[in-house]
Amino acid sequence: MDLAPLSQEQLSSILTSAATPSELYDTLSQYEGQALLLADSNGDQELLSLFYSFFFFSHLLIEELSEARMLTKRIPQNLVENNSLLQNCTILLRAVWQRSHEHVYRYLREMPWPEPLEPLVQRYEVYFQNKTLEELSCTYEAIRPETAASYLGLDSATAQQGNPDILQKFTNCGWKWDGEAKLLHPKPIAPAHGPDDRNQVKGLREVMVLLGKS
Amino acid sequence: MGFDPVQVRYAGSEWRELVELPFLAIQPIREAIFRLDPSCSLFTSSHLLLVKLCLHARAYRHALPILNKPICHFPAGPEQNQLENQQPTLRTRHESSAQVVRNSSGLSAKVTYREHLEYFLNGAMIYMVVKQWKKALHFLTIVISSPVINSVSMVMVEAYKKWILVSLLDNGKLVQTPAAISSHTIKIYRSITKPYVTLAGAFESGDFSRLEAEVEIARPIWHTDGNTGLVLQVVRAFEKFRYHKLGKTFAALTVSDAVKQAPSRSGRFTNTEQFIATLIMSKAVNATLSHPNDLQKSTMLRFSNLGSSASALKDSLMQSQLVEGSWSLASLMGHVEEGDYVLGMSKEYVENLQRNQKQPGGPLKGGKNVGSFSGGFDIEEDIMGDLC
Repeated sequence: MDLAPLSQEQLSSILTSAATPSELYDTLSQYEGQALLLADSNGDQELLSLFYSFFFFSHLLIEELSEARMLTKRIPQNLVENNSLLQNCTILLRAVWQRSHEHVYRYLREMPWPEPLEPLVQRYEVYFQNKTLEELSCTYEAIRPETAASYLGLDSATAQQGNPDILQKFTNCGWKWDGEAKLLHPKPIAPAHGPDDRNQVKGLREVMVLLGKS
Repeated sequence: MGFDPVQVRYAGSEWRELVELPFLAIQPIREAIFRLDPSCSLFTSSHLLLVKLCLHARAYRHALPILNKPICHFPAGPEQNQLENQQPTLRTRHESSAQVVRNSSGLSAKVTYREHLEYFLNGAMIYMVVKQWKKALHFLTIVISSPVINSVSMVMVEAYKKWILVSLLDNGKLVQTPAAISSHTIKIYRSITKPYVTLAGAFESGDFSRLEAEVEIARPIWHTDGNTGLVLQVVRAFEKFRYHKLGKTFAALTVSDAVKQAPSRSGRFTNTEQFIATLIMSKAVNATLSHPNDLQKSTMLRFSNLGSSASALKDSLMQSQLVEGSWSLASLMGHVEEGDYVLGMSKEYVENLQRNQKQPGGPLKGGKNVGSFSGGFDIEEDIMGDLC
């Protein structure tokens, strides 16, 4: 199938039409060849940096950190050298890679991301927050609100003072607040993208049949 | 856009630059492999080409759909007389491409033994980049346990070096050498890869300074072998596996006691609790943390949280892994049955069967019951008789 030529309008249209992050990644990955050719012929630098930053965030949204790292190495170096947007992507990746939650939130919120990229940046922040909440709920049996808040990019000082708004964010997820001990008791949160249970039971039955066969 | 063959002569270097961009070739080759054989179970020369291009272009994820499919067949060569005599009808549909793609068909170039080893070594390298250590280890195991006559090849030695490092990264220790490798071959491997064996010994001893010293001494070797990155990852994984070991000794202890038991020699981590939390969050360590009421007291670290509420999530994860495994197993069984059938029809097998029939004590004495694996598919004696 012929791809529409790469343009800023096309990128916006891909972003709005992709229903899932995987779909977004798949569509953008088809354009990497075009981008490479464009870069090779010293084409529109702004368009290229926008494409690569879109593509970079689509990697983050599907948790392909190793591949995102490789993408930063595949981007033509002459493009990266004078491009603050692509350099910021690399800085953000380092923070995500090192699981430095504080830096991830700071970079996502404070770096000057271009307007067309904003929806993806915000989407990733929400994704990162939810993922961290899921992980945190399985990591701690009891946690101080300021620690939990720092992992989620919320105001630690306010959380330490027992701010009800912040506490409510956790209790809404089923966590329990022990006001006396000033501790939150997390309840493990199932991943939002978990497979259907009925399919699993059916699948398990088939595993047993296969094992019986052999 | 039109292509003008005359005009392109004025842009020779640009033309070559374009043709030599390895990334552009990846997608068409991958599509071609899938179109020829959707199950991707047949190894062709295009497999190796694709994997090499992906490594060269640093587009590792593009190779995964091919690498994740188990290789079950090789293009039939002229030595497989039985199959050569049964020329496939190209216009009919076949269950597997293995019946159509032969060396003589031209769909694949002749695949050599070395190329088959290279495919698995390069495939393992891709898995290493994306940190799928188990799959990388599996691919490397295929290479190092491939049959040899007198000595091992350079590809196998390279694979053994990486096998040691990946084994440490995946398990925190050297895993058992595959049973298929003879003790003589293991001796050869070990004598050629001494610095790696010593490094593994230092890692397993739990002595960080010894590990650091071994890494430093053999630095030129890691560099020459192109394994510096892997060795550095081994050093970084050292701390993680210390906490693993701790979990085998203690059910629970405070974070400050954990630091005493497994002091951080690398000095990389200023906040130990945060480091442990990262290990747990990334599922590298199976434990939970618990803050005490008293701010002066240290956080409690509990290992093996079986029965905790989080274990339900782990069960669910295991369940989905089992289901995923079942699909691969079902697909693999189909190929095994097919291979079983081909083996049962081979000249060697029929001759062996005939020899056994002549001997007292049963038709399959001393030979493998090839036909019985395929769930009800048994080779009958009279059918075999007719064939010969």
